[in-house]
Amino acid sequence: MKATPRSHAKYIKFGLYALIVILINIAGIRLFFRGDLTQNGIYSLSPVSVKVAETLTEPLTVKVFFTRDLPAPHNTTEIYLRDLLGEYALNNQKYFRVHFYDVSPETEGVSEAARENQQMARDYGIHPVQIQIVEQDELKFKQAYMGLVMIHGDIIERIPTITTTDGLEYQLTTAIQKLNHKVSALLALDGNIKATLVLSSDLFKVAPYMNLKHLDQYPEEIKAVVDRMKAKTYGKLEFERIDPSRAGTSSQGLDGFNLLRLQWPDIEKANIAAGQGTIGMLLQYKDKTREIPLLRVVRVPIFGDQYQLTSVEELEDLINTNIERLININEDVGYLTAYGTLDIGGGSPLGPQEDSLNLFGNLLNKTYTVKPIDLKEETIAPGLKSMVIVRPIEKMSDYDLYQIDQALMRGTNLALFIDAFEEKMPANQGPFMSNQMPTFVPLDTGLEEMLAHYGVRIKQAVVLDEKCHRQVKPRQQGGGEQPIYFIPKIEGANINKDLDYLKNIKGLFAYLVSPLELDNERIAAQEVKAHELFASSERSWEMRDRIVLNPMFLTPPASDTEMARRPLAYLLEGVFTSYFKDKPMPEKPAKDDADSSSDQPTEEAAADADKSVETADLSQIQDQGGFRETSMPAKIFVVASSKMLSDQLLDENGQSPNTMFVLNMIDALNDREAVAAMRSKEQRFNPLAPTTNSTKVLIKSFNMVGLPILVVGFGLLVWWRRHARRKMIQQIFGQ
Amino acid sequence: MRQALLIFSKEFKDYFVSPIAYIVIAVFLIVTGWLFFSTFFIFDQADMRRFFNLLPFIFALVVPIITMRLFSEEINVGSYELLLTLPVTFRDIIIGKFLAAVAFAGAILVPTLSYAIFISAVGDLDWGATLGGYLGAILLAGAYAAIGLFASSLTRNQIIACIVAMVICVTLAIIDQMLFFFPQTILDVITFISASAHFNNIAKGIVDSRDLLYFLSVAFLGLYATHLSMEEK
Repeated sequence: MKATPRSHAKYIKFGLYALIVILINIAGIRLFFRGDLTQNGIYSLSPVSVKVAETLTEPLTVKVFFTRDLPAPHNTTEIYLRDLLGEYALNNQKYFRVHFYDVSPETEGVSEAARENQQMARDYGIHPVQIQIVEQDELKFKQAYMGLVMIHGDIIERIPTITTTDGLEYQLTTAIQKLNHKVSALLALDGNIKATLVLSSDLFKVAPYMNLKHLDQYPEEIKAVVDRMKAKTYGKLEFERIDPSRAGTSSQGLDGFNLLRLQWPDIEKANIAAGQGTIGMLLQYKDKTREIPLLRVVRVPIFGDQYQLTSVEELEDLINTNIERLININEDVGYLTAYGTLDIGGGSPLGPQEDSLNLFGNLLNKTYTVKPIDLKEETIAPGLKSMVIVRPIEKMSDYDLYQIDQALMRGTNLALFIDAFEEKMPANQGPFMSNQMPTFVPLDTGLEEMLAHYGVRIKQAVVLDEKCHRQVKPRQQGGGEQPIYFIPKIEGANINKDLDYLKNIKGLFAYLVSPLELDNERIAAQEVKAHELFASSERSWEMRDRIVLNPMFLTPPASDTEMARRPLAYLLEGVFTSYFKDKPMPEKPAKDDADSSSDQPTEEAAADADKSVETADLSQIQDQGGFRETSMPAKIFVVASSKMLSDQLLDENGQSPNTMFVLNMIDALNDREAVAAMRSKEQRFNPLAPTTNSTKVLIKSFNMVGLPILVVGFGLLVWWRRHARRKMIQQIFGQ
Repeated sequence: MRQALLIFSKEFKDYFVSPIAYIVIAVFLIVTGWLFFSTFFIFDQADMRRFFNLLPFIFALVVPIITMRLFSEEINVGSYELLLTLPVTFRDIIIGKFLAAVAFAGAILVPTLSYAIFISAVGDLDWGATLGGYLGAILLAGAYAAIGLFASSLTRNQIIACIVAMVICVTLAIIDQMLFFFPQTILDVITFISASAHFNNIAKGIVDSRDLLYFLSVAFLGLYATHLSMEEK
């Protein structure tokens, strides 16, 4: 049949409509809207992530190496990762690129492409991790790749293991931010970073006796690492080798650095003369230097000293981290040292862990540069955004308090983790070796009074709570649970949900915490707003005067009158009035005086101190004339427990509620509330409640078999009714 | 429009008169129930995402069965001519039949609400995401139904209509899994025409104007092509 002009017109019309539809879809790719129907908008990126993605001005490639078809919960992690990266890509379709690489399990048949991808993953420093899976009711282990790398310019940032969706957006966004900062910081350097390997060649002779094989090849390996990293740092890294053993080699100036120096006696058997050698690495940029240890000495009982050489893989990470510290890509957070404050990240791995803040230090160092501040030696830098003070136990001079006060007046926010008591162990007895309990001596560092002036008073008591951590007792001790009343369990209802960054903190543990009291008069007198951050339960009480914390001897009070909810942490924000308003300007103590303030000052030292006060040089007073009576808008976070930062309450991945709370508060004090809110965003992993086998069988049977039977039954019912109706009509008309 | 609603009402009721409807629903429930619940407790996730992920492919097989008779049967038994003598336009007929097919696809999904109810009993089901999934499923059914309707309008043989529609729908459902067959330059286009890629977005609870536009576009083109095909007859 011949087509008529009219039918041609119809087809042309259809073609035009189709073209319009295609054009609308093309336009829709650029102009679109998205709505997230999920609870808490888990698929919507936080504003800060959107901004980070949008502001990329150079391509950022994310290469994901994730083994497919992993069991729960890892499959969920992969799906969430895909979704999340897709969201970033949507916000910058030009520069944000994502590639997923097939890296099938090593234990099964691996295709050539997968093998190449596995090699690529390993080249990027992503190695398979062992995960547990249940197959045919058996627990098995499987090797799986679960990491990604981000490549921005010449810089690479990697997340080698992603085992959970918790905080994944936070991890990705901060990693992208870091890449951005790092690229800018490296490009802005007006010189190279020198990576100097200090290695005495004399050590090669004794290395075999230290169980160090191939030490002579170590310099070449390190040079290869540095050269490789040079390409990833815009050529800003250069290698240099110093051999202190060689005559004529410049080793001047090495004395000032903390490099490992070894000495050995004559070893006659091997014909080695007594000697000494140095090993270590220095990263130097202008006047700043970072030391990287290359050899660790581990003292093992019976076996004696063991020597461990830093592997080249570890070294790449170490150089990377130290470059970041050297070029200062992170914001500074001040940390008060001296006055007996806890050591941040400096605890010995072999020493007691009780008093170290290793985890807190490590977590903080990921996004900030911790700047130690010793007020006896230096002043607080005017631009510092926040300062952390953890458990000072020594009396602070007025001058030091003045410095803290004036820092607050200049807008430096304070995070105070202050104890009301000093825990003193009986002499010659460790905490776990004694029948004698520690004594708790009330502290008066001067900071408490200053804090009371700002509006919060620390009560000299310990909060005990019926809602608390419960320790499972071993069977030998009769089993059951032992309530540890001095570790109150803070429930979600007692956590302030008005602040975005605390919204998803579902619960916390406090530990040896003292109650806080708000001075409403002082608060009202200043332009300050107080937020109660968390409180104990209604079933908590206080222990005062004689503090005994043996869980066996602790019982709740007989009367309910002592039971009450007690505020345990506050955030004050606003314009504060100086503690030193209408007071004479304090003088800076002479240095000797400061040094003499030890736990048990001798009479001689006291006499010296008096003398030095008399002869104090007034010209040493700094910032004279720059006194501020009222502050710029500032914040004070206070909780009366240094244990909140202890390694026992934090986790190294930063995912426990306690860790999130602490880091969120530090972020909030550094004006990074949006980042903090992102850290504790509602999680995607949504496991089922514990379900009995019979319930599982019921659910499966009903939905797999029961529903189809019901539908068929319904169909039969309809058919039967129609059939009956038809029959009835036939009967009516048949009669 | 009134005529379209009358046609919709008649066609929708007709589905439930035939035992085929119950068999289709039962088979659909057996297949999805088995695929979803056999591993549900192993995956240990209180969501229906894996159920919704099955739909682009399963609907690509089921919806053509629903639509295959809509025109083919009328042409075959001769009722089509009778229909044309009635005071209805092509548009009314197409819209009425299309809505009936989509409504029946919706009716197929109704028993699966039981999945959501049971899951919410043993976990914290995200009802927002679930609602998104069902919304996406209706849009997907709409796009497939328009294609099925077009295939049905092409031939008097229901089986051929069903196979033609299935080929088109299955292609749209799985094309994003076969990207390695295509040159790099057209990968974006191929991904865009994939129904699964658009459906997966809605299924996880994200309503994106691009996905809505895609499903409405496919439905519009399918229905317009049906209109064209009917005019030719």
